[in-house]
Amino acid sequence: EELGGLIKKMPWTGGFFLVGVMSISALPPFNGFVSEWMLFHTQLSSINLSNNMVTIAILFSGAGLALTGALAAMCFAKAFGLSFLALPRSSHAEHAHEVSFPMLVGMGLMSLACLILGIMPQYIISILDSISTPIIGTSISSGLSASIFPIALPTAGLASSSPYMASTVFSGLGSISTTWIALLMIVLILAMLTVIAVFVPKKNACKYETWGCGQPVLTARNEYTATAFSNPVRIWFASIYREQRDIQTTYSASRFFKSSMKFEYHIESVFERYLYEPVIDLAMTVSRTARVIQSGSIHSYLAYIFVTLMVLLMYVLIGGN
Amino acid sequence: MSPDIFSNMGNTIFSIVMVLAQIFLIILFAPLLSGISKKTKAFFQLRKGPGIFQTYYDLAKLFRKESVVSHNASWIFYATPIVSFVAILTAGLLIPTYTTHLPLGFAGDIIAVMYLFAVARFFVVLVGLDTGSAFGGMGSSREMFVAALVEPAMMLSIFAVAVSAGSTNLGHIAQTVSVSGLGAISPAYLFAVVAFFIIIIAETGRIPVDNPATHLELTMIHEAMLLEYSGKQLAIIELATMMKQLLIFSLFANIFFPWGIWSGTGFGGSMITVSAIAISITIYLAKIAIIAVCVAISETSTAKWRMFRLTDLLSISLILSFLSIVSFIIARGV
Repeated sequence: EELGGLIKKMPWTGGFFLVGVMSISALPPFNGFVSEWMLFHTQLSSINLSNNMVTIAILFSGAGLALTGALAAMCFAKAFGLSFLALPRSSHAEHAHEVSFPMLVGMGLMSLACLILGIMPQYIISILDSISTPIIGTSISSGLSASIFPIALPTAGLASSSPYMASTVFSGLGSISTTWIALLMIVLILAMLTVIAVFVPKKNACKYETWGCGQPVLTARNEYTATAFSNPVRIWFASIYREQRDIQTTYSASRFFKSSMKFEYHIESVFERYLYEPVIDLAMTVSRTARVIQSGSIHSYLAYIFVTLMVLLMYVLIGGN
Repeated sequence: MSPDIFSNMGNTIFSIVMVLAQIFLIILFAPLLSGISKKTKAFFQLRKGPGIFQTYYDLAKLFRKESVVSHNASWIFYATPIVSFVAILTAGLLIPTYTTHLPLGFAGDIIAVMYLFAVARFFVVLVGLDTGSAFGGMGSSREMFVAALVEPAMMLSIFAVAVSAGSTNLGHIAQTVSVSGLGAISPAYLFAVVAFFIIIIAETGRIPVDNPATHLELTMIHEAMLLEYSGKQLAIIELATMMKQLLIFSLFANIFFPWGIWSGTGFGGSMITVSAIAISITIYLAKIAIIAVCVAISETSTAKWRMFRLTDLLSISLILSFLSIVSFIIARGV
């Protein structure tokens, strides 16, 4: 909640962050979408199972996966939108500047990987498939075309009859070719820009203030905050989050003249409190008890070795292996 | 869908023509559908309302105006109308409109369509945050919340449809339902129809989910994100929204009521006859017009709901899709 407006000061960082955000929200044409697509098709393929209860449970979990994707998209739209867009909310953000070249290269390589894995996924899918085949016994390579590029190259298998379909992934229930989707989008964007340049009369955009119901909106105080953005989800899951809010006001002359207000807001981190912390406490207790044998004295360590050897010797003498 | 159709140059040109025809159909009829919807609402409100072609004139007017851009806007403000429009149009090429034989149907199925709509929505949500106004932030927050409600219900509806038809490829689904005639109507089908109708109200942003005709801060969701747009950017993004509406109505029409669609391999025998195509286009336009009228009637029968009541509405859709899947599994036996 102290960032904002960074996209103008750090354009490259903003661009790479956007690629990352789009990938994690499972938006085409990036790699997150290919993973989600394959997961959905796995869930759909459960219709071929013999146990109907399992089928129904797996199909219902598809709704859960879609909900996860949508909430992730909301989270990352918030992260990108509030950090990079609009006005800076603190002086730190105002004085931000672009990072050094090696840092940009690091981010850039990752973004490039997201894009490449998104538009040409067969290569990595076949590598992952070769890892999983010895474990589960079946392979999905019959659903992948052998070629990587969308044109030419004779292919073998299900997708062989047409070079145009050469970048498609076939599941039993449907097919996807993110290469073609990306190609289509690029072609349509170029076509649209051409049509607009030719047919729409050229007018310069006039710059003015953001609309604020007639009041000047010149500061960052009018923008939405992260707490406000996630408010609907917190209300929806209020039974899990169990929010507590506390507002304290001090008054000067009468109750209409407030000199200060303090707002405190607290939500319950359910998984942390009821799952992670007990497990961590248990692990710490067990290791604290086990630490007793580490007394630091070399005599006790020698004694441990001696006792262990005696026990093993007796075991062998009795006749164990 | 036979891959041999690509085997010679004539067929390639034919495919390109079909794709271009679909693009023109989508762009051309989207404003008309919006006009029909407004006219129906006006009729039920005992008004005369704007003419059904008024939306075309409004778009033409917007293209002629200059745009006023906020000082805070970044490149996302300028890129979003184009990205949003193109994402929706790409999704449109994967949806059967006047034919079930989609040349690019192999490139994506209904899950791809859903996520392409999500790309368009994502960018509009970012624009809402871009200009630094409280309206935009509020619209973005609510839009993502409604999306989080709609996505599980929509995915389960899609699953219900896909398991019945045996495929997620939309051309194939339309073909299967069309070929089985009235035998396609089963309990699973009926549950899925109602569930999907609720989804189309939520996805196109109509009452009770969102009011497309309001600019009051308490009630607007989609309009809030677009509040800062004017001129040609507004025209493009409004056209994109109308196209999304047309495509979602087409999905509903061609998944559940595809009878009469031209299947590319013959409606009456021969491969390409002008009469088959003409009949298919007319039937398609009539279907989506009827769906638009039905949605408009359901809009006038209720007011916009409080946002947190929408969880109830979309849970109904989720449960109906679940029932559709269960009844399909029961019906097919052990």
